[in-house]
Amino acid sequence: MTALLTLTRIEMRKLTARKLLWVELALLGLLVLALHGALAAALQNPQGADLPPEALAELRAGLRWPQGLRGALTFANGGELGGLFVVVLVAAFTAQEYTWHTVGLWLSRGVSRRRYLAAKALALLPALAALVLVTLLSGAVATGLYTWHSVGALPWQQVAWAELLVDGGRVLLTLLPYAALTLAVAVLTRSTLVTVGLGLGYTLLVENLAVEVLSLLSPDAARLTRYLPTMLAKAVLQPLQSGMQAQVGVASAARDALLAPGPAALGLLAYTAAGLALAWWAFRRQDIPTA
Amino acid sequence: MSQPVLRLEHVVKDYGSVRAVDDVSLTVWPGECFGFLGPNGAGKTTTIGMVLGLLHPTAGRIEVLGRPVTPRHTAALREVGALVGAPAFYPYLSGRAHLDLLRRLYPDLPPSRVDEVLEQVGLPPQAARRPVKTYSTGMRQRLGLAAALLHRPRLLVLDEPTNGLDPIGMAEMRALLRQLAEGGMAIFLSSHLLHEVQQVCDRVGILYRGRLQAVGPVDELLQGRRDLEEVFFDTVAAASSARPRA
Repeated sequence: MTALLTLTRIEMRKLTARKLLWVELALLGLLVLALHGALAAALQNPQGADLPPEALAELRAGLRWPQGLRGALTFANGGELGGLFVVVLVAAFTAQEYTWHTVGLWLSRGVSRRRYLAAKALALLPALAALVLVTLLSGAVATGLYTWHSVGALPWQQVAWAELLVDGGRVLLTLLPYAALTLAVAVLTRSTLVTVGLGLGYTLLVENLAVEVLSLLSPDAARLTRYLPTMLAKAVLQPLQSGMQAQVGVASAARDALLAPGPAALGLLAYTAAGLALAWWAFRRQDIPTA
Repeated sequence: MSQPVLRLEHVVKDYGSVRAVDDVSLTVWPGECFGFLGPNGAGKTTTIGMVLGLLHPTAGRIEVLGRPVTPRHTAALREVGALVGAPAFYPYLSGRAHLDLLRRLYPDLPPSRVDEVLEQVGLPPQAARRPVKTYSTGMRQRLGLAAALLHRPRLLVLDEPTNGLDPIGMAEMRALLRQLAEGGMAIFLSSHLLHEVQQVCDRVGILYRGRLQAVGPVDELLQGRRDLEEVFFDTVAAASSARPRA
């Protein structure tokens, strides 16, 4: 156990010493700020939106505290920006060890493969939590400014902080399958470029395309989409989503087919376990070439 | 007699239908420097990969200090230090940061051991604070040796350790290896520099096409020959004419 903790600390040091993590955090924070800014500007002057006044009022409320705080968190979920950032981070953190031949640096010193991989997975957890935290903070700033601008004060008392913490946990959960599956692909391919390509390709194209195509085929086919990680993530995050976000990017048939949050959370954990198991299966059989 | 530090028994490694290492058996004793020679593609690096638990042997047994070594049995490797090929490092970390990270694997090692080992390999403190991506090949080689020696291993595995070193660096390395062997460390040295091996090693093994063609003390192998280079070429020529490549 002590050895695993030591290794995890070493992995965390390797991760935090890289610029990539900090660049990703800064970029995510800026993107969340920018997206909220764009939404606020659009709602300020909603020309062409053709929305009834009640819907517009609901959307505006969704950008204000306390609802806006919860809504902001969803940007970090696995099916949205968070998934993309996780793919790049995990690919670089894992596959680059093969490119640099640094895997052997540890294994040739008696570090067991099981511990090495477990430490890598554990070290990623705080990094994923940091992605969620940065999203929350920058979302809080953006929605806070919007709230201040439209109401003239921040309703601190209305914010359910404990609930917000649970929401953060939900978002973190949606990132886990993307991290575990990327880890598996990185171990299998041993290439950062291929892992990033496959990961982003799947997250940006395959998942969304599958949802759209299956939704058009038949109601039964649409129901299949509920088992995709992106739809499981949406199911887990249903309590967080404002009306506006719930309508973005999800075909209505597929949205109707979402699982309940509990089973969806189990589904996400199953994907995570499958990703880790695949990574371990491949890693323990691999020949690691010397430099 | 003391226990061998490294023992290979009938070790085989196949890559598909290609046999890279064929029934290699050898032993390295405490305080001994064993030269592992062979032309490119002979199977030296593959053998070293198996000794370090990175490659799965197809057959045979490898032991370090009497304990088995495979990718699934790696505990004995805590007694091993290795510098193989171009040493692998994280380009964004400094040399000192690498040694600090590696030191954490050995709870008994004090932080001062990092300075000791940097001095031992001749890497100046200022250089050790710079990111590894700014290092010359020679500096990387010195850092690799420092990492290999950090935990005072009982077996040192070296593959072309003088790569990128200037003549002064090579002489320093030679002296250091002799000093380490005299201190009881076993050294398994793979190199193309036969003159260096002749000066440093007590015994050598010559690998050709995956098979160990000759093993013995340097003095014995040299009998009737000018130098180790002649021994090497005679052995390779004899093996080449005796067995066509599969």
